[in-house]
Amino acid sequence: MLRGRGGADEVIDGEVKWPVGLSDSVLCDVMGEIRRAWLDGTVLSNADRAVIEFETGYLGRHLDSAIARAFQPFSPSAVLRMIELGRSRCDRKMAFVLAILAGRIPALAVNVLFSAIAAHTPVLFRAPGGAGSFVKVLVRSVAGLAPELAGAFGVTSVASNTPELDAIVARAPGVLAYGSDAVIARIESIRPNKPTWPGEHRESIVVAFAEHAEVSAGGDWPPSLARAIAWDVAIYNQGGCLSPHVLLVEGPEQRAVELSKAVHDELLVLARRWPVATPSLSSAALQRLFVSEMRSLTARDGGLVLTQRSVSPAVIIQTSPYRPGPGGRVLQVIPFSAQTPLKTIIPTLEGRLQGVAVHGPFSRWRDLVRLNPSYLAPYVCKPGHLQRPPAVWRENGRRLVSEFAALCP
Amino acid sequence: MNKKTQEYRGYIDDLTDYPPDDATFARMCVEIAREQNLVPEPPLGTGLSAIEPVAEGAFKLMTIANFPPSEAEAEFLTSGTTMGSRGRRFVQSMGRYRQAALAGFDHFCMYDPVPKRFCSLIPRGEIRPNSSLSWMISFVLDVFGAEDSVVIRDGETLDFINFTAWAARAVRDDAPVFILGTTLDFHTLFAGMKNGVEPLPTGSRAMHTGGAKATGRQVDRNVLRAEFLNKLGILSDDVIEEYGMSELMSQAYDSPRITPGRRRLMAVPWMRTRVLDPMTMTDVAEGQRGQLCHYDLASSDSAVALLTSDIATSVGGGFVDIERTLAGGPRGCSEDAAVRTK
Repeated sequence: MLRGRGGADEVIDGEVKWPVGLSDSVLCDVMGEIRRAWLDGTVLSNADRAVIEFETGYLGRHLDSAIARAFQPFSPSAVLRMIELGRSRCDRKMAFVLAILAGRIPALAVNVLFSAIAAHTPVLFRAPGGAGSFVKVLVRSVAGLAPELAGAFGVTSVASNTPELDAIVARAPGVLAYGSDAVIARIESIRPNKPTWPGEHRESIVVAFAEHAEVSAGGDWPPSLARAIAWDVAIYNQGGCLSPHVLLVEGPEQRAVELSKAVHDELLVLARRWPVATPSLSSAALQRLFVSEMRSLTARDGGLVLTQRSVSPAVIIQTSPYRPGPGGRVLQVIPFSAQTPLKTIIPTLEGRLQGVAVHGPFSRWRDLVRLNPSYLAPYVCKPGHLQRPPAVWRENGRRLVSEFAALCP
Repeated sequence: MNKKTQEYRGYIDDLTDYPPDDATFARMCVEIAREQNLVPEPPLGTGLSAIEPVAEGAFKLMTIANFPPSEAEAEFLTSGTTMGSRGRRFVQSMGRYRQAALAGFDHFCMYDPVPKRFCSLIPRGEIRPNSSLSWMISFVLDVFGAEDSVVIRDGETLDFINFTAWAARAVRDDAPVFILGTTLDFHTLFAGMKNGVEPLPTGSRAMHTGGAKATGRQVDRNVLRAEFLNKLGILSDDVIEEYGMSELMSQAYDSPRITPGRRRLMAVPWMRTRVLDPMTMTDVAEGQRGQLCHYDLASSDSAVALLTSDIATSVGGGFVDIERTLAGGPRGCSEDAAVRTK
């Protein structure tokens, strides 16, 4: 049942099946219709909106921006490409996928949905605890906007770590699972030798190489760079695998300080446009503790903590290695040299990179990866584009639409 | 060390009957904090708010000491985490720790009728030299324990047989007793006792410490106190809870015979515990929850202000219902969507 504050009750649990005989052009049309309706803002009722704002922490215009970001990649040309990639020789009726979602990023569910439509794949979503309303409204909107897809998508609210969910996990022809290493290991153990696509823990970074011209001319960092970095940090409050938690700045510490101050200023601007929703007491306490710990470390080792009385946003310039941060717009900045092994700078991100935003020639990043091969990332882009991956990007190294299309139960 | 701090340390060495008022306390605390480089310029605020507290986790990352650590008389290890690391708290003077621990215990626990027979479920400091709690137990047993005071422990387990015999002697002699243990120890004791013992003599009391931290689960204190009554005959008002941290020299107690009214933990008179909104670092209103920050005059050798991972409710000048915030879990696309509570 979908229950929101004042929202209508609606049963959307249940079996999912792909309808027979849907042509490519019908799929193009429905995907376009769904995208248009969401971008026009006609889908969400006030009650739905209130619940989703509460669950995601994205308020007002911030939620509008997050939703727009989720649907923007699926332009008509992108959809055509997806449909081409989604062609399959298998009977699609029973080839359903159980998609176990995590976190509160709307783009996650939207990417799964559009990939599934393009690949003629029914999906049963398992909503994340405490943030399941968006996917429920999304699935309900499909039923309303695209009756042709009736029965192809559903949402289950079965609790995690229960025999009921384990049974679905075991029998689903395919499982897409976002979660911790322990969660994914458990899921894989329930369904050995069956298609399981893990969405394990990954993070993203920004790397600012010292552009030769800027360094030699003693020039400032371009203002657009700070804005772009701040946007990638703030749009999802550092939630999701494409949100950067650390910025590596090539060159002396002073260059890092200059860029950090500019990023902090831009984060303050965004804090006014997209106010940070009051986090839970636990989350706020963890943010405060982290920033306080970093103050102690920078007092000893050198560096700077840029923050106002409120703990977020915060930009921390440090000489110590990256530490997993608390999120909520707390960014670590580390001056570095390309000769320094990345393991000593970002040790916990070895094998865990999802996206890298590069300021400077991409060839510089490629050279760095050659020296540090365990830091290869599936998605490399310019700053400001971390949260704008294309529709068929290789999330965790895989194109979901292709994986779904290859599912033959 | 400057002259002012020396004066304050002298004050603490004589701190029994003359606890500082709030203004004096704040002045002393800020002076010590200034020496510890915890008072930024421009100031963050006035009084205790002028101090930038040290986060509990900093003890795991670096040495926090206001003296050369090579001169430490002891090294306490702080609580471990799921990540496995433990911090270190260097102690400049075990004499000062002894003074602070005993004065606090005396203040909150040794009301009439004063028990003389002590039983500890916690090993002594000589057995666990890196445990601040064990050293506190040693001090208490040595100063307040008289005849037939024991440590009921057989290695890592509790010695039920000797405990039962000890309790029987106390009943026979009508001698009130004091039992000390962690909350987990008492859970284990009660689980192993089945039928309990003869009710212990009037004036008997118990002190437990650790709470949810010790057991890893929420502790229903009403249920726990009922067990003390059912299994040992100790009245609820004589079940005292102690709150301490290795990072601090001083403690807080919930001792209803000393601080009547609603049950809550109260800091010793030379410590202040604020319950803060972590977003603004201002005090929450009565009845509201916030993050605990302790200001401990006895910690002049380390960090006088400590920001903890504990969330609690502000009640009557003290605090209750402590929960530890969870360490950062997975983020990225494996992030758990925590339910927001505000």
